[in-house]
Amino acid sequence: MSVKAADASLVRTEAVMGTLVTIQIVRGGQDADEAIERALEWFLEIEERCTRFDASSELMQLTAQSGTAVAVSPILFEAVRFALMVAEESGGAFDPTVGHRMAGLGFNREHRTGEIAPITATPAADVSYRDVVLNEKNQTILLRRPLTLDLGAVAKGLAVDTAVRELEPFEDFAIDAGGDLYLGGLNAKGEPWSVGIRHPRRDGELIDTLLVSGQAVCTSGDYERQTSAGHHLLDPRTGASTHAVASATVVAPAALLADALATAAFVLGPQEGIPFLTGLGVEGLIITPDMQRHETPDLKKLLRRA
Amino acid sequence: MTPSGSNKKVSNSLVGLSFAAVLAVYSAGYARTRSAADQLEARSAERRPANPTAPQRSAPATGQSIAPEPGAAAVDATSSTGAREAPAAADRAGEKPGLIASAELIAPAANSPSPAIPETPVVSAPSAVAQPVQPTVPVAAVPVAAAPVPVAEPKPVVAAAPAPKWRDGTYTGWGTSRHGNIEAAVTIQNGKIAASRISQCLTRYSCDVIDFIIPQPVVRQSPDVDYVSRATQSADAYYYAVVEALGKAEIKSDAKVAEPK
Repeated sequence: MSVKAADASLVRTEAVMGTLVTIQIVRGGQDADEAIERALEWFLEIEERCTRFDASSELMQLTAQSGTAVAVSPILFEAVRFALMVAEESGGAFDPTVGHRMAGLGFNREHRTGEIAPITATPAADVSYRDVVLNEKNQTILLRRPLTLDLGAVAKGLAVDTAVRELEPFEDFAIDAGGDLYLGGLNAKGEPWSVGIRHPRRDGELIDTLLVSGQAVCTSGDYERQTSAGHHLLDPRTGASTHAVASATVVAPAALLADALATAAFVLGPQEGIPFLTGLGVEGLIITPDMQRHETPDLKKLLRRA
Repeated sequence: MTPSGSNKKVSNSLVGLSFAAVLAVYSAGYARTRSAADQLEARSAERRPANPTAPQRSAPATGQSIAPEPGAAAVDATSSTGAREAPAAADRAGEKPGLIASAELIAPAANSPSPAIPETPVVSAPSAVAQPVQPTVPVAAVPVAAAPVPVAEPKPVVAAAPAPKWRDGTYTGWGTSRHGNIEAAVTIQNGKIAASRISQCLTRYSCDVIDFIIPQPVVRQSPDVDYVSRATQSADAYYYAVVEALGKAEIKSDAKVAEPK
């Protein structure tokens, strides 16, 4: 249920997409509840189509039909198309076909509900995003070889961004989808939203605070979702967990972009990752395990001065 | 392919593609969100009255006849930023990073149930209006402004806008369309629109197609630009962007900053 805060802002939290989604509208008018409802529906609908934890999801139906061009919904088509685009731009550092490797490392469990991902045929070791072929005209997707698509990052970002469309009429709002944030307009004090970046090694501490308006912020960290074999961010080029980065944060105009690029930057590491983000015109902060900071040149404009 | 460092075209395509993907998904599902769509439709209907004073030098045949297609209204929903009332936009003129703030959201704290709720709805000081800056793209130095253009011709008054009273400076605004977003930078000198340009083009198609309408706000001293055949979305986005920028520039007769609505 939504809560009306003392300052008239409307806040609501729901468990969706394996995480908690919190939406805040600063000046909740009469339609605010409905808008939040519609925003949350997007999360449910996108999750339903893109999850790999449900054999009946559209994504898993597609996975079961490798070798055939399958007509898919706009949600799945756009999610895959965007994932492939980022894969291309990042030289494969981001690759939605790492799904099977994640399952192999023990990431086959939906981490909130404990659901187990369905077993799929073991793909060849060298599958990559290049085995996924889109036909824009027919809106079909062809998996050239058996493989599992992991759209986790992209789907959550897409859900945040479509939710943003529902909330835009309210101008000032915030969405927090388990660390995928979008901050619209200004906070209740009429200031840019302030977003803390968690310290990758010290619980409860912030390593920095950003001031953000009209932008998405996403952090990929090695502290989330560890298994004995490593954390959940794999280098698609080697299939192992990466070790050069403790956390990578990206600030971008869309959550879709911020989430995918945070993952890519995490895998690329600071030497490649910072020029990559700078070249794309987004801001980023990469922290290495020895707590060295690497940031894009203009990130300092978003940092809160003490 | 290796990650490429500094290709600006790449950046535009990836950013633009993210917007395009979201819009494609949103518009495909808009039937479910009908009321939001209706709202947008209403907005785009009021968006532009026929523009009687506009010189028809461009695409005369198509000019007024291109109303936003009904289906497009849903997608135009995304234009809400540009369509909002000028005063509302002016309220936000103080919007810039680097002011002050208290931590309301902790980025990666995935499981914290809800952001702390700020307690006092204080409005920021009016003095903040100096130079609105988009967080990512500071327009600090946009000295493009040519000499102010004296406008001799009868003023093409827009119904909604009273005698323009704009504060000198350069202001930016965003306009959105189903093909992506456009940011306009409008320079006010001596209270007049001295320059208007596209500072960021994040549309799926090149902004070149609307090149010829870009200077129109200077000539007309209003955001009313022509419709552009086959580029109605981009032209609308530019219009909304200029509207928003001018909203930020607007001088309120009452010196106090308006209260949050």
